[in-house]
Amino acid sequence: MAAAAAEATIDGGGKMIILISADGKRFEVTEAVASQSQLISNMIEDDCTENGVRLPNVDGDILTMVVDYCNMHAGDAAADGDTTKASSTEELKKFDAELVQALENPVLFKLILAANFLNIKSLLDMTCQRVADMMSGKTPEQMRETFSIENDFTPEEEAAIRQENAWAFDD
Amino acid sequence: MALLALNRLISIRRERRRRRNKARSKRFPLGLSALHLSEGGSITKSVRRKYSPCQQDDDSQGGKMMTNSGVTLPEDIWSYILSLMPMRDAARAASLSRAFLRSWRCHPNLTFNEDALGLNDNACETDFTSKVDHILKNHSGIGVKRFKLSVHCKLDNCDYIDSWLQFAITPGIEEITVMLSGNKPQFNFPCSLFSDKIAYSIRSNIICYARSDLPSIVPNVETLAVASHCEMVDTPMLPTKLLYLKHLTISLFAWTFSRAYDYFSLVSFFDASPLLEVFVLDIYQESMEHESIFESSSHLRQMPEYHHEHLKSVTISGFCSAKRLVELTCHIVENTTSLERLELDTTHGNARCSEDSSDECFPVSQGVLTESPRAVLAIRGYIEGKIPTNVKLNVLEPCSRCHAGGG
Repeated sequence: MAAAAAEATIDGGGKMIILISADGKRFEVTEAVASQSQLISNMIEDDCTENGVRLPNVDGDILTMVVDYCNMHAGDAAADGDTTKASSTEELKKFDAELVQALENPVLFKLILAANFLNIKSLLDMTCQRVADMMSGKTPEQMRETFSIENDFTPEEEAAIRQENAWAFDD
Repeated sequence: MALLALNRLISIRRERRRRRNKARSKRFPLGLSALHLSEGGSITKSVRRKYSPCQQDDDSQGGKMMTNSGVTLPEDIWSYILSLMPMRDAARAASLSRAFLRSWRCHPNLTFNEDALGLNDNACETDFTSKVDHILKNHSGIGVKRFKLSVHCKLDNCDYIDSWLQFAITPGIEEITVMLSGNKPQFNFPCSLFSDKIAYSIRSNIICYARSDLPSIVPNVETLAVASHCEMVDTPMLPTKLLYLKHLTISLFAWTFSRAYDYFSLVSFFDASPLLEVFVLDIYQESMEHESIFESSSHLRQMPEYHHEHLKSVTISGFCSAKRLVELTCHIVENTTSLERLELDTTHGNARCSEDSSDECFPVSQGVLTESPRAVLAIRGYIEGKIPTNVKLNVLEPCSRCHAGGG
């Protein structure tokens, strides 16, 4: 029955793809929407999507965000002209800004990992840029604290590196 | 203030990029083969698992790991994030952990200017050069993609620049920007220690250098911007080619370029670049000191044997009535079958008149106000009549409200 659903078509004739999250949530999206993921696009090309695409590394909350993002950006990919929902540039900018602004760890990291796994370059760029922006202007201590980064240097090593990059510390 | 030399060279090796993209399209964006989730905030060793689309694994390992609250990013992703940060921030992040230090050693974007190095306005040459030297000494030399050098303090010793450029010019480099600006119009590089070619290029005649030497140094360059503050020799006609060049921008700053400089010699670039599509010529000069077409015989030189079949868009900013510039423009119009648009801006491009009449126009120099009518007259008299009907000509001139500012 999953197969039947996966083969279902919408009014426009676009094939539907079922995405299944790690916790078993199912998302039905058009091929055009799903194809923004290079991973899924390759799977569609290879005919591997009949039984739905299980994403054992992406949980439902994150996949909801990814699917929202892809739905919103489906108009971007004018490649095959399947513009089911073309959003204006302004709208998209607003949507993107709101999406990443609202995110903090660990959700932001999970979204990055999902974007990387699914190979959605624009989403990966945007989320990585958000982390880069959050890192900028911070001291190493603040960076470690914000992003739970473990310090594996010995105190001597760390001091040496700080000394080497002293130019980046003074204001 | 005095921007004395600007040399921007963007070398995008198309073939290599295409190959890379192709290779990457079936892979994961950052070369990762698996998703990493772990607890405790440590970067885990990557478990590289070839993800085969048709063999989806049903174990719930991913789901189980997801329940852990600590989520970390693998080193490749952190490296990428580091590359998106300003250089100073990335340098501070180098002291976070070994993985961050490794990323910093291969940082792809090297930007050297007073701001990025944390230097104040009073910084002297030694402050700047020692910091750049220090940073480059600790960089692995691997992975540099963008190299930007912008020096506002006076540099008396340019063998530094030579060695920095040698560091930057590697097969992986995609973009090199070098801006040297001092506070004196008379910029004198005592370049005796400098390797001849590059010294020559930075000191003077960089357009000639670009035409003579770049075909062998960066034969695949697609976009090239060259700015010269001192062009004393004409651009030579040579058999060498820039076969991939599509966008060419040439800027001439008039306080030092020779009154004898022959704009017409730029035809050499068109001849060298059979695929050239966009040509931009920016001329900055306070007053027009070349021989005007109205002051000389109206015989125009021609080179009908040179045809250009891909050049679509030509913009000449700072257009004036110099006879040699009119000759260049007529040559483009008459020998470019592919031409679609020609923009001749007689204002230096900085006097874009405001459409809203309540706003004041940007002040233009007295020199521009004097020369612009002559430039427009030259266009009407010598160029307009030669333009094929399918070419869109756009002439920009100061409007009646434009006023002289300062000079």
